[in-house]
Amino acid sequence: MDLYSISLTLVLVVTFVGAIAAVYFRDLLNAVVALAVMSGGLALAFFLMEAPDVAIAEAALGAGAITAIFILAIGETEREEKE
Amino acid sequence: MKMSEKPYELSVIVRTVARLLFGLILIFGFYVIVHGHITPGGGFQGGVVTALAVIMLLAAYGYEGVVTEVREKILERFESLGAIMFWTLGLVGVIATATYFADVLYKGTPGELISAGTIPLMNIAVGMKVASGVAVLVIIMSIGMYYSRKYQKAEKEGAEE
Repeated sequence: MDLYSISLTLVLVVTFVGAIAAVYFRDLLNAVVALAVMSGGLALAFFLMEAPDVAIAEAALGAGAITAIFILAIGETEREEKE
Repeated sequence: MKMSEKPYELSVIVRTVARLLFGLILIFGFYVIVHGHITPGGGFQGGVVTALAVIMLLAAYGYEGVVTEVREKILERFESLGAIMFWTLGLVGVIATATYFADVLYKGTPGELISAGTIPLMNIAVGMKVASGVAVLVIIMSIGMYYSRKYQKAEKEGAEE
């Protein structure tokens, strides 16, 4: 395996773990941070696959704007998810 | 620890970092917009980065702390101005060469900042529209939160009396 495959696999594993964690966290603030980690991993994967345009859009929207909007929204509701 | 008197604000660390980074993020957004035709990025990506500066201030200071500095009415006009600018650039091509979005300006050497005809101007128009649009979106959201918080406070005070 060359360096490209190894790094892409690592980045995609981070993305996968972030996505799973975002679903399973009960604390919604933790879930939002996990979602941001997932978006960052996805942006890195786009960058590795030579699509820097999409990577910038994904990093700015996924890790920045959506996180900020979710944090603002969680401030208005309950922080813990109820059963 | 003493509770903050302004519940809509985040901690002093977050507020200081947001204040320091505001200008830098704004400049990076402008850089991505202006260099859209020679480096990755462009109007949309740079516009979102520019709007993020305002969103960060909103998250750190709350609507009450930002409303005196950022007015959504001006941003709404700015958004419309971006759309009109994009449409006008297309119309200039129609008038000059009978093709929509035709290049009429100096083309220059590929790879230089002043090149590619009208494409940088179109990037700037899209950047204006996206930056003010996304910023207005989040400002409107926090206006709703501001009024709901005010209403809840008034209700609580009414119940105590």
